[in-house]
This record gives sequence, C-alpha cells and structure tokens, in this order.
Amino acid sequence: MKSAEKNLHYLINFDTLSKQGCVLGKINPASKIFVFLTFLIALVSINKYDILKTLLLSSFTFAMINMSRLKYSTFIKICVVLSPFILLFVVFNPILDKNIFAFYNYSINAGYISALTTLIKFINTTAISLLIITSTTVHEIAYGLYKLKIPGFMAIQIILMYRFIFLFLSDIINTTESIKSRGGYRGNIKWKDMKQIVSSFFARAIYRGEDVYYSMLSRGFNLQNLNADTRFKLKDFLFLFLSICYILLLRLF
Amino acid sequence: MSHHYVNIKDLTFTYSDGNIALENINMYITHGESVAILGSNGAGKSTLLKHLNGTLLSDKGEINIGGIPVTKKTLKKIRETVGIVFQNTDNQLFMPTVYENVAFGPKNLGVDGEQLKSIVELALKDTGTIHLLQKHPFRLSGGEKRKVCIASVIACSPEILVFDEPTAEVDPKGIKDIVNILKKFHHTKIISTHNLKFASAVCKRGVVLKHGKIIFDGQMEDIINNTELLREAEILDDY
Repeated sequence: MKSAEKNLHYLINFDTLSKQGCVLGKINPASKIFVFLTFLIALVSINKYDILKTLLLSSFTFAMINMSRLKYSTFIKICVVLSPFILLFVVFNPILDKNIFAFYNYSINAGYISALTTLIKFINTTAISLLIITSTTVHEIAYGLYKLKIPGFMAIQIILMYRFIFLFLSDIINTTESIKSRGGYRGNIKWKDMKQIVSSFFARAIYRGEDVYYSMLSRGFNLQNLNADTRFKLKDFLFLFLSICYILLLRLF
Repeated sequence: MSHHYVNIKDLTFTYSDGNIALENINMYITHGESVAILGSNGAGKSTLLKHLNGTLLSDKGEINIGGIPVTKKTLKKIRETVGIVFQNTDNQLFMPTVYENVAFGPKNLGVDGEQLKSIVELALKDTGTIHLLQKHPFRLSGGEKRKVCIASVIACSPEILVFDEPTAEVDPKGIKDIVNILKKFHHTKIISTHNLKFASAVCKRGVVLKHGKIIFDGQMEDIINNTELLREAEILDDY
C-alpha cells in the first residue's frame, strides 16, 4: 500500500511541476514533442559503439533539464527505479558481444562499449520522457499530438489513461487495505491470488474508464476546446529550428 | 425563464442484455422546478437521469431540453445546459486535486486565469469545501467528495442540475449541508433518491418509478402520505 501511495504522490508532484512556469514549459507542446521525438530517433539510430557521438548528443538532454524545473535528484531517483532491466543488459552484454576493439595499444571488449552507450541512451530517453511530463500538462501533450496529426481518439485515450492512473492507484490502495483488514496472509498478498486481483482490477477498469469519460464529457470536455495556447510564436519556431539544427549537427557530423 | 424546460415523450430504453429499464416515460418539467425521482434500487432512476444529458441515448421516444432534442449532434449544447452529479463520486473526481477537479469544467468552457480561479473558489465556498482546495480527492470523506462533485458541476453554471443519489454514503450532517446547498441553486433540479426525507426537503414534486414505469407523478406531500404507494414502490421505511 505504501508504494502505491508513494506513486500517487509522485504523480501528483509531476502534475504540479507541469503547471509551474519554466522556460521549457512556455514552448508550444507540438514544437516540443516534435523536437524530442527527433532527438530520440537521432539518439537511438547512433551506432552502438559510437560512444563519443552518444555523449555529445547527451548535451542536448542536459541543456533541456536546465531549462525545466526537473530536479537532478528526482531524475536520478527515477533512473535508479527503472534501471534493473538495463543493468541486467549491461552485465550480460560483454558475454554476448565478443568483438574486440583496438584502442591505441589496448584491446577492449566491444560488449563493454555497447553496454555503456546503451546505458547513456537509457538515461537520455528517461530524461526526455520526464522532461515532457514535467514541463507539459497531459492535456497539452494530447493537444500537441493532435496537432501533429495523431488521430483525435488516440489523443483522448492518452488523457483518459492518465486521468485513470489516479483512480487505479486509489483502487489498489483500497483493495490492499481491504485484504489487510480481513487479516489475510498477515497483510501480504499471495502471488497465486494476484491473477484474480489483477483481473478484477482490469474488469473494473473498463466500467470505471467509461464512467470517467462520461463524467469528463458532462463537464464540457472536447479535444477541440482544450484551451491550451496553441498558436506558434516566434520563440516556438526558434526553439524548433535551433534544436533540430543542433541535433542534426551532432548526429550527422 | 421557461426556455429550459425538460420534455420527455414516450421514452423507452432496453439494455443490451434485454433488460427493459424504462418503458413509456412521459414527463414535463418547467424551468426552476425541483423534481425528485423516487424508486427502489433497479427502478430505472439512474437510467432515466443518464438520458437527460445524453450519457445514454434511446432509440424509442424523445427528450427535449429547452427546445433542443437530445441527439448525438446536440450533445455539446445539451451538456453545457444539463450538469449531472453521478452516483459514484470517485469516478467523477479524476483530477489530482480538488481545485483542478472543480476547474476542469469551466476550463473546457474556455474560462481561464483569474476568472477561473474566482469561479472555482466561489463554487467551493458555496458548497463549504474551500478548505479542501489543494487536497487530493482520495483523502476526502464520502460527504466531502459529494460536495466537491456538486461544486465541480455548479462551477459550469448549468441551467439544469441532475443528481443521482446525492445522499449515498453521506452522514446526516452531510445530508443537511447538501440540502442547504441545493436550496441555494434556483435553477431546475432533478434528483434521484430513495431518501424520502431528503426528497421532500428539496423538492415539491415527486415522480415514482417502479420497474421502469411511472406509477405516480404529483406533490411530494401526497407521496409521503400515501403508504400504499410507498409500499408498492418499495421505498417505505417500515423496518
């Protein structure tokens, strides 16, 4: 229960951060999403042994972090939480990748280099995802995607899913409290019962999702009238142009 | 002021599992009227209310709100006119804080900045929940959640307020507060409940439903004094 509540607070904090003014927050969402997507494509497409280019491209991420309200401590915490999978890859990669690189008079296992570039790419991808969440409200992200010609129903799904996370976490907290209050398993949930609990969560999620959507509609929700300031201004063009130039410059040369 | 009437003609609704929830419902509600929809669980109260702002659309019969028929094409206008407080408060409080929940509706209607802030604060003051402004809805009591839901709908300034079981999970003090809030709202109110005391405190007119059919439409006084009717509708407190 504690972890569900902790996650709920994390989400609330991110939501609050996205509404606080910062340089990055003032950029048009469509422009921001386009730049970040371009950056991610450029980053992922770098050769797995090209550590220098990967590091150089990371400078863009750190410039963006400085333009936002994202704290380095929060960023590091999130990276640590998400790191187990990537660390497994880093540990086992030198065993799988047995190429040898000659560096001056030394020979290095290429597995270590590709593991390091993957780690840097992971840090960058996490940072970019966090930057979008903490500098743009979900409604603005959805509207930005809609402006980038993503179908309206998909943009609505994003808003709905995000809104639903709060209810879903509250549901998890309630269910865990209910299990504990009945003295079940000394307050711990048995793994074998997880499938029933999870399936009931999802069955409820369908009905609740529908109710949440109706509730949003009954209060005038419509993708068209999200009152995000969506006009492209000079600063948005400048951000788009300069960022794309910087990314391409580092990527192509 | 009679332009926001509600006119329901021959409304019939059958759920996809074949359950006939409403059958030949006819009702006319004038602007400013307060009407209680009474009936036991499963009588069709919630189904009827969901038709009023187009959450459910029926193939048979028609609903007209101030001259506008409730159809897919008119849903936007209808939802601006008819504000609905659903039975389940949790599904209605989907934003992270109370402030944002109340601000959600007016924001969608294009209100922003200082005006938005004052609308939200006024709605929260009217419902006595201004002290909850920055709280997360998860941490509220049943009564507080209900009041915040009412505030979130009032903030949209609807012409017609629809309440589905507003007294569910609310203690007597909370019910008294809700009665006072509703008395302040001078537009049309349509309230579904099986709490007779609450219904008669807020509404003069009552419509009794049983198995999806209207079995009585008249003054609340006549309903409360008619034991036979209450027994037939299964809403008599005789335990």
